[in-house]
Amino acid sequence: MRLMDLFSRAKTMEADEARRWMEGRPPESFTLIDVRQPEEYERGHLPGAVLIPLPELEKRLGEIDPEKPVLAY
Amino acid sequence: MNGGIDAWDGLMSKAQVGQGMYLIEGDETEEEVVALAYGLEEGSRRFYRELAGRSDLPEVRRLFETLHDAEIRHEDRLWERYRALPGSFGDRRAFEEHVVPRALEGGLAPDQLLAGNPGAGRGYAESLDLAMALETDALDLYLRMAAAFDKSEIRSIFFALAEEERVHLEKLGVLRGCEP
Repeated sequence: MRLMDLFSRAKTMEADEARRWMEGRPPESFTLIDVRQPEEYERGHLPGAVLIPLPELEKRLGEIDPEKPVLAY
Repeated sequence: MNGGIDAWDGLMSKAQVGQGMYLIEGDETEEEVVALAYGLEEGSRRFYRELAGRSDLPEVRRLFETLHDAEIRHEDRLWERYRALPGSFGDRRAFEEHVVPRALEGGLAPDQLLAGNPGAGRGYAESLDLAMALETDALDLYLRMAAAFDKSEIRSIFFALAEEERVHLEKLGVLRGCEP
């Protein structure tokens, strides 16, 4: 992670933009995170999404590759 | 993503938390991973063959036969990948004897998948829904499995499989657009 990344704001995308963004790059080049609760994840999630519920996000930050962009929903 | 999951109208997997992950420990070799994937594709191949044999509807039989044949092509590519590994068996039949289909691709047992798609085999649309659910869960599982490994060689196997499933799903999407 670059120092300036600590000061950058997260960008918000529309769903269509997010789809185009994901389709335009290989799946290994980014991390897709589902921050909802497990029962919401099981009702339907984007293929390949890693479930990290929002309340657990801070303590599980180590699971996220800091070198890759993250798409969260 | 603005609007969260409610704004998403693309592919969605309904896989349970950790579905299929019991199949790996995270320390498998390339040979073991290819054999595991081959087993998952083989599980799906047999499943589609059985469903094709069960249906009285020609269009449903054709659909499942097409899906069955696609799984054979996936197995062919996995076999080529396996054969390129140092120390691998040179004989496909010998390799297949070591492959144990423990689940469908996606990580479910056939009866679990059928329980969630009770109309499969009775109608074309329902059968297509089942196939898309299975293939979407496969895409999901292969990507989740890739994330469970640190070795890039292993991850590349799962990413290649995920890409095959994605292409497969695009073709199924075209079929859905021209249902008989």
